[in-house]
Amino acid sequence: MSRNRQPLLEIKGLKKHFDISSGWFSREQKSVKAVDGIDLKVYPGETLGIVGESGCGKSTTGNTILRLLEATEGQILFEGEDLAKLSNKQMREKRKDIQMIFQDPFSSLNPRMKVFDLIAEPLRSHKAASGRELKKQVYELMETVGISKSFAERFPHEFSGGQRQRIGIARALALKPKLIVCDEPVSALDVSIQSQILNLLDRLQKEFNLTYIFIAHGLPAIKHISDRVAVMYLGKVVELADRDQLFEKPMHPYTEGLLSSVPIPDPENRNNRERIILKGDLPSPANPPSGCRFHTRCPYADEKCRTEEPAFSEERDGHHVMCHYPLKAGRGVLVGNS
Amino acid sequence: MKQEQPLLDVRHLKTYFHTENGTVPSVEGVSFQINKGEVVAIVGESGCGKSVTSYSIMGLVKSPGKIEAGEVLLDGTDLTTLSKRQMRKLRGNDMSMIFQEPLTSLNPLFTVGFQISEVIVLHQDVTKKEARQKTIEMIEKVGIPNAEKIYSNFPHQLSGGMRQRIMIAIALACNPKLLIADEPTTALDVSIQAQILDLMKKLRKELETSILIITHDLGVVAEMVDRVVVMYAGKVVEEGTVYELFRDPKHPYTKGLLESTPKIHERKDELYSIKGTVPTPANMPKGCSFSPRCAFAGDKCREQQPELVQVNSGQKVSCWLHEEGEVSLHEQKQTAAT
Ligand SMILES: Nc1ncnc2c1ncn2[C@@H]1O[C@H](COP(=O)(O)OP(=O)(O)OP(=O)(O)O)[C@@H](O)[C@H]1O
Ligand SMILES: Nc1ncnc2c1ncn2[C@@H]1O[C@H](COP(=O)(O)OP(=O)(O)OP(=O)(O)O)[C@@H](O)[C@H]1O
Ligand code: SF4
Ligand SMILES: [Mg+2]
Ligand SMILES: [Mg+2]
Repeated sequence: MSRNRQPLLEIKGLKKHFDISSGWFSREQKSVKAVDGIDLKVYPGETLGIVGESGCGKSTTGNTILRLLEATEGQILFEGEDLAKLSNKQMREKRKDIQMIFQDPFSSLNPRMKVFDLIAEPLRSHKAASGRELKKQVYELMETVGISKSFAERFPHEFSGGQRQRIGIARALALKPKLIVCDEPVSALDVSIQSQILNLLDRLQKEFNLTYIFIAHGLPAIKHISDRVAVMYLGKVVELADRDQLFEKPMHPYTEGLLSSVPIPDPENRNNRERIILKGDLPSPANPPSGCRFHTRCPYADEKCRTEEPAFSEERDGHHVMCHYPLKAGRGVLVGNS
Repeated sequence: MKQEQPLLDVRHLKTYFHTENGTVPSVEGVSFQINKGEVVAIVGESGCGKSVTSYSIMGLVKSPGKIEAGEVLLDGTDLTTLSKRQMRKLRGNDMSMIFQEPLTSLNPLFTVGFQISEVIVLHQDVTKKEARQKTIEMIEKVGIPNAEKIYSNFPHQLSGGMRQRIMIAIALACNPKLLIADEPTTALDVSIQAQILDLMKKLRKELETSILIITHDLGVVAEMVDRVVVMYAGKVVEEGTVYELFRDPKHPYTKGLLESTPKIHERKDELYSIKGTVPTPANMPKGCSFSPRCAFAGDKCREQQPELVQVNSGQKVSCWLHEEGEVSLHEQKQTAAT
């Protein structure tokens, strides 16, 4: 469907390396390859989920798209235009179209500002509205995200986590963006509040025709909200597919292991589930393994995996995977790729 | 058949915090039991009193907190009447606890080997050499390779998953009758969480330890436990075997929690959500504490507090809907739309 259209955002060969060669390590040049060459397209109106374990580079990807961090290498094309080439002033203007919602509703809001001013801030700083019009828009935004107008004069600490996240969402919506990068917007919230926020994001997407990049480490939430899903491991996208494809027929052994690790809230079937438990720890992104980065934990790794880095190739329509031996339909059934 | 005495019998426990801003009734009359060899979970959202309950059992409530009333019977002995010294002797020996954040609960200045052997020396009549041998056995038992080498590592040299394994080794070093695990995997990545849960299941079979696991993850509950205690705002609102509770939850809160959890093995267009937020001690409602958020609430609910009563052989619930006997919420009409 969407694949024939122009992507709203296209990421090509994106890298972000952090230099850590100061202090103790000063003798050697060392860097953390937080994002190490990823390609992604995001189509208008869709939600692209980005999932992976701590430190795999999800937030760095999001922050680089918004140019909160400057990319080390690669292109970020928004409606065909390379964001890296924009001046700071032009980029500021672009931020009307690209907004972000952060994980921590506690630290992402200025504690000294009242709710009204927090939501008015983006409108004011972009001179998008003033006076009565500003007031009207702020109240509308509050209503949209489900915060009562009577709370306009309160400070963030007077709100619960879920309410603060609603304020963050209202701020992100204020300038009517096209793309919102949501970085773990529900991870810090309780289950009953998580579902309120997920439903709200869903509704707003339909209402305002928004495009989302939804970053999370929780697979159930990713499954619920995404149209397509990218799985990251140590700075690389290792699998990218339509949601149902990815969850029902994962082709990367890491995705398979990750899905198998999720505890399922269904006690009846707990004894007849076959589990693939990924062994070992996550290697450090400062020193990723040779060949396929996953080989140290992969149950199927062989010599080729240890020496040769696999390509990110399209195995089926729209289903990309970075593995020498992508899994064929049915778990654990392997098939050569060369 | 005569009912065996439960290993742990918590009766009408009340623990309050006397702060400058008033009294916080964190645990407000909690009762439950754990039988020998049983795994019981306490679930509920942030702030409902799960940790304070477990600290109360362990005798670790610190000022301004205080156990106001109730009994904590371990093998028939009321722990609330014991001296500090007696409690210290009990901890680590008869019962031990693992915490959510393994880094803060290990001492950064000592090797992990020293920290495990210290517990063994303290509680068992062994020589230093025997303690070292036992420590190495424990490190192996929790699935860490190279135990000899790890023995002399400091906590910061280990990954989060390894530190949690060390915490488990310390907790189990003296083969306690009761292990309390407060969110043992919440800070860990899913693939590491799966390893730790697998380890706990294995050790449980091997050592026949009773376990109280505290979590807000219903997936973890469904995978691990025999019986579930659901807490809301400092009280037990439902208790039952894991099968009954998931199949036919009796309390509207339990039902809401189950339904608002996104699940990896099914797909819904919209998640169920419980409206509103958890009450704070300052705005605790009259009557049932869940009534302002409850889709089934009637007038009585808003006036009078329900008691926790047995509704069938395996389930207890505190809800007026079951006043005249057991009803199934699946068939019950919701009075308020959400
Ligand atoms: N400013 C920085 N300087 C050095 N290293 C950094 C910096 N920011 C991030 N990193 C490293 O880059 C890697 C990727 O970090 P990132 O925050 O993108 O991960 P993430 O996938 O968002 O993880 P999480 O799930 O924990 O949020 C990590 O190893 C992190 O330690
Ligand atoms: N030292 C303290 N002083 C005052 N209030 C406290 C203190 N410790 C806990 N409380 C309050 O007691 C209540 C229960 O806290 P508790 O830590 O048991 O919650 P919890 O269920 O473990 O939540 P979480 O899932 O966030 O760990 C909360 O309202 C908390 O604010
Ligand atoms: S007692 Fe009433 S208000 Fe409370 S949970 Fe039951 S039905 Fe809802
Ligand atoms: Mg992050
Ligand atoms: Mg807690």
